[in-house]
Amino acid sequence: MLGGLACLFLPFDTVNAQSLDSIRKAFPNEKAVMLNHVYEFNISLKNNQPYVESEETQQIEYVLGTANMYSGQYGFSHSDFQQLITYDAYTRTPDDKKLKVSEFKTSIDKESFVFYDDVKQTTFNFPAVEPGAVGNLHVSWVNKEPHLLSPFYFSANIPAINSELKVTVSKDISLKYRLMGLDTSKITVSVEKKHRDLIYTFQYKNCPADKSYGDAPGFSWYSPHVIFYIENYKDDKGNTVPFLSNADDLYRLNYSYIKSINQQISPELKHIVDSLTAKSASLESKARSIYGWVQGNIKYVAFEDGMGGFVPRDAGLVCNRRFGDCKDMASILTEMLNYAGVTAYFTWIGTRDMPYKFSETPLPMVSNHMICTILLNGKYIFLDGTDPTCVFGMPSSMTQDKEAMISINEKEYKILKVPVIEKDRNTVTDTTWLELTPAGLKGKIKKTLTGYYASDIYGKLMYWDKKNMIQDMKDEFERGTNKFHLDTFYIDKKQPNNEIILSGEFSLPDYAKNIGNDYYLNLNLFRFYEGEKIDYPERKIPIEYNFISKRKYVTMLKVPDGYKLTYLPPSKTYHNNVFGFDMQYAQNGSWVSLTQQFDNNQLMLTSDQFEAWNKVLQNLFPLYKETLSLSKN
Amino acid sequence: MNKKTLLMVVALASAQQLLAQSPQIEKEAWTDKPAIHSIDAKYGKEAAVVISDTRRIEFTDESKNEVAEYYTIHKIVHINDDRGIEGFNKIYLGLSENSDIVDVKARSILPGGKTIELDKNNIKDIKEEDGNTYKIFAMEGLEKGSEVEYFYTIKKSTTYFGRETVQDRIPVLETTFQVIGPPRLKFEVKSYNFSAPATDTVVNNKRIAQCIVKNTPGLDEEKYAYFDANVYRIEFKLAYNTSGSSTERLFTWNELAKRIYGVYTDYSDKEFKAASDLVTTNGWDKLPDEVAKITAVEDFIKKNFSYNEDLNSADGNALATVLQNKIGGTIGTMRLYTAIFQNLGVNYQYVLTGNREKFSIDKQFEDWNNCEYPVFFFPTENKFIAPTRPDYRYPWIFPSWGSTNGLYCKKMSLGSFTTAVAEIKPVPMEAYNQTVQNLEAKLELNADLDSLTIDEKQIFQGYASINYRDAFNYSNDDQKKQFIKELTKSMANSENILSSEVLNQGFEDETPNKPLILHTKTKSGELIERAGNKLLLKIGMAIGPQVEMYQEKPRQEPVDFEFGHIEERKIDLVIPDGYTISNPNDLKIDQTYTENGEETMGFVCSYEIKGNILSIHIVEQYHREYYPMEQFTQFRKIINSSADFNKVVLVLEKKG
Repeated sequence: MLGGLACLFLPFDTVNAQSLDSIRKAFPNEKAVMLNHVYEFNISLKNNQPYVESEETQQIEYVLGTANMYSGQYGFSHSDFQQLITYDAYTRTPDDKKLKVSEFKTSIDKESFVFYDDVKQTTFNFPAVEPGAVGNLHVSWVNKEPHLLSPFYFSANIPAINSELKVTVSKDISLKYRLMGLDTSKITVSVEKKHRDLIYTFQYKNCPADKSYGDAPGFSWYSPHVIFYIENYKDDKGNTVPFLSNADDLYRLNYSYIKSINQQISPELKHIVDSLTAKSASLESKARSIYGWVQGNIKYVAFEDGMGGFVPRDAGLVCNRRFGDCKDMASILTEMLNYAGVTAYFTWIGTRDMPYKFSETPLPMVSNHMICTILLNGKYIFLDGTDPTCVFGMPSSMTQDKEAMISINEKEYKILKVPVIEKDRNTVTDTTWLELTPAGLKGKIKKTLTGYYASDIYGKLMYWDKKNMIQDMKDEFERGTNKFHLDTFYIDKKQPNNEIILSGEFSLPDYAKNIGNDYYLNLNLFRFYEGEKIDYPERKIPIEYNFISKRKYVTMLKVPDGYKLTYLPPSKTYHNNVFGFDMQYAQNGSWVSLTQQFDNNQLMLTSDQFEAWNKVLQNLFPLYKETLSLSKN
Repeated sequence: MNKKTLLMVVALASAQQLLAQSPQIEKEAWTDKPAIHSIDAKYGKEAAVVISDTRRIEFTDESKNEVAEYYTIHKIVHINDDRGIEGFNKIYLGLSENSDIVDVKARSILPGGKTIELDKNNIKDIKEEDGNTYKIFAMEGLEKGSEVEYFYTIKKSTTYFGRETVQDRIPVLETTFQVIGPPRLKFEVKSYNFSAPATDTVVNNKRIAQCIVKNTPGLDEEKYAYFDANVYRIEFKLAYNTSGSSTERLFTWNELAKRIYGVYTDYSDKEFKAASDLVTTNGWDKLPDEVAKITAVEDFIKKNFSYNEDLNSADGNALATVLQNKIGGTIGTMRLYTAIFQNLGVNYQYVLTGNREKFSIDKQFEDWNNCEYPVFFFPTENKFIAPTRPDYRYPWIFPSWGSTNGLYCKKMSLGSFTTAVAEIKPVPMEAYNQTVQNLEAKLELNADLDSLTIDEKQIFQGYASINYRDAFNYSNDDQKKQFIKELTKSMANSENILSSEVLNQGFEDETPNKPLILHTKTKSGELIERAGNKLLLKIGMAIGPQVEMYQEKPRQEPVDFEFGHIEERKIDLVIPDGYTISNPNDLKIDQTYTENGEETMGFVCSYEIKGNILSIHIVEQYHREYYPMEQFTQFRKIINSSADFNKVVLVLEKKG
């Protein structure tokens, strides 16, 4: 249907309500359609510096349904870096009347002592919204920081007939761009010379609406967008001035944010490091205790504010405050570790929310996070201060597989890839012992967690309500049905690697079925992946996992005296190149057991793997329906 | 000019400045050397304990006969653990758009005795997901055992009412609540959900209404309970202005009714004429009866006009603007309906309601703030409409606005002048049996006996239908498909939908209470399991997962529901040839509660087998929106009966 739409596209000013019927035909189930979305940038030189202005035009036609089905609310944002110049919005009614929006709402600072100024949102409602009405918005800005030009995303929550980015660049400026997203084949790129300027046009016609999935990675992984940036420019003497031509330029910019902090260690911080490391023989044990102290004592509180969003605070200040954002955590870690004799570096990194690489697009937007990297016994170790329960030696899960830009000194830096933690280090081993008693099914649990699984539990333990731990532990342990009742629990913390063993005793009424002389009981207390069949081939957007892992669940049932096992379900193993499972039944003396094992081998599952994934589930689900039976001798 | 006179002039000027800028409002005590409080061991498991919580609302005279309102909150909190640090290391200043910060102080008091004062430069604005902007600052240096002390005073736009919540999830050792004003202004203070007598004294030419509460326990969120409605709450209002000899009570219900009437009927003849044009264009005046008129007008406005609750400018709510822009705020929308109803001669009253999930109108205490939601009441029909809810249609209004008090503005004419007088009485809800959430299903095993074909209808009427109508009407095609899939999966445990249809999804179907029906046919292997040659049918899952209250802490709050309703399920199972059901009696559940001869709640499951059809009949019903504490045990049994039904597994054996 969408393919036939090209004829529908009309130049901006001739689009009107006349096309309502044809738009309805093309988008039979959409309530509104973006007729035209054009974002224009104008990049020139002013006082020998790049100077950027931008403007955006949007035209939304309301198509189907009644007034109350549209959210007429609309908005645009602006900030210190992208200052608002003009804005204007109106509705063109089906009978061609123009109704201007007169009320705009913006959050404004009123207090003089407040310097904070971040992104602001201005919102308004289009008046007289009904089928055939067209909402028009026009906004212009001046972009104060040309290092920080936002990428242009073509798609929105409604389909767009024309979605377009236009960048006009004066002849002395060299522009670079990169198309990103799952499928960029529909984006056409043209470069046109006009007077002394080059005009880059990126156009996506008939761009479908965004789809959202809760388990998808960040938007930038799949939504089609253009990243564009100034590579270099010629100054008035004709010299080429590098701007963001490569990682060296970016490093120079990044280094400027950290060069003047942590000139001197504060006495208090010194005292803390001295007392933490007094008994440490090795550099590693010093590093461990310092990392542990920061994790335990500096709380993550983030206030992004203008340039403060890039400059870490002084380690001494972070120490006094006992809180900080990622940059502050990197600052205090780096300072404390260096003072203790451990070589430590400020490090910029992008989290797994984003796909960008320093080597592909050397831009500030590649990194949205800062950590500390140490060099210990010839090996680089990544320490993320914002993760209070991360194990020393493991990167935070959200930085795995990402490029880190490590600041060695003013001139030198390294780009290293953060490793992915092997699945053998992120494990769950969970054993349940079941006994049939006259009062119903009773059981014991022992659950051992390592790696990121253990970190997660440590994180939860920090914030669970101590008055009501039994409820939280019940949720952690629940199996069989929701009638699972936790009677007691015990937590065994295994330092220093943050393993943890949780154990408990429970009852599970109404789970085992007793009819006449027989018991029926399904040993699949867990039915993982039920309801997780992927909508293939419809879905194209990948699925993201926090880490790769190995999980093993053993369920043991004691055959009561006087009973014998009359049916033991068959075992089965199934693996393909994407995923797999092992389901093993066994009988050993008076115990019957089921062992369920699952490995997760990838951080991201892409659409080419969905079919194989579903195939595994197709083999797995019938096994969940196998119930064993016991009969009286 | 000699030196002496200069000094005189300066002194006078500063005195004047003092008067003009800084009224003599009460100042918060800020001790020089704060000490950490020792906390009773019984609070050891609390994340934090509030040592003291002081709230003060002070009214002062300003120039030009204006009265200003200052709001002060002062808290000292003892922190026990990481959760406590997380909860108090960021302090939010509750500030509306029209308030100014007059004073703010905050400090962390560390176990060693060191204190760290807040640097005002570190106060920031943030925009939260709820769309509001807050001032926020972070408390520095916090560790376990620290205390956080802060206060701020803001100048608000003056209102003579207020509602303060004085209970939280953690205990509060002492709460002091004060309303202060010039001696002539007499405020009344009333506590809700607890009792704390208020005192009224005049000290230093200020009148102080005060109440003090000690040892307020923490309150937890519970299932089927309205936390906001159940927390300790204090309300206040200005009751008298004794200047002169006036003894007239202020801000009465009658006065509110009069004002509301005035505001909603405030439009020009020209505007009235423009609204009247809609009547003739749409032929509403030709409709046979009042109900037809009301419903036609409501349907038209809700389909053609948008409602925006944030639109509160005078111009945006002028009837002419509403008619032109086809969008109205609360006042503008009420005017639009009023003008049309007036033209049609519809007999109506304005009613203002509270939201019983949070607060209710108290007849004895005229807190105008509790009259938040306007609805129309039609005395002839004894029914309501909710103009500000486009998804509700006659006679349905948002359920939490019902079964609670309303302020009825009854029209009264004095010659050519019309106004309204107030009557406080409950806003009745539609009868419980008009709201249903039913299921009709037929289950049949396929020839291989490893899967089921399920033909089922999920049926929604009344209050229960409206969230579903929202979902079906406001979604796009993709979302609708997804929603059908989720709904079906929850009942039939299958994503394998063979066919689906949605009937009567329109909002206009609410008026005749046409059932919204989701009819699906699915093929599912999930409900059937095998044990050797026996078939296990997890019939209990066919009603979808039910809420359980198996492992509960001691109950703190009574039971509150959005609405009473009935859930009737009829499930037919075709028993496969050659098989018999070994345990049909597992289906029998009978858990009911009777009060004064009426079965007010219950879960009853029965069955019969005719030929090869097993027919299961479940009636789960809750007649009330509210069950008191003493009925909680019984309520819990009934909730758990439906959760127990989920566990019923039928064993099908080959006949003998």
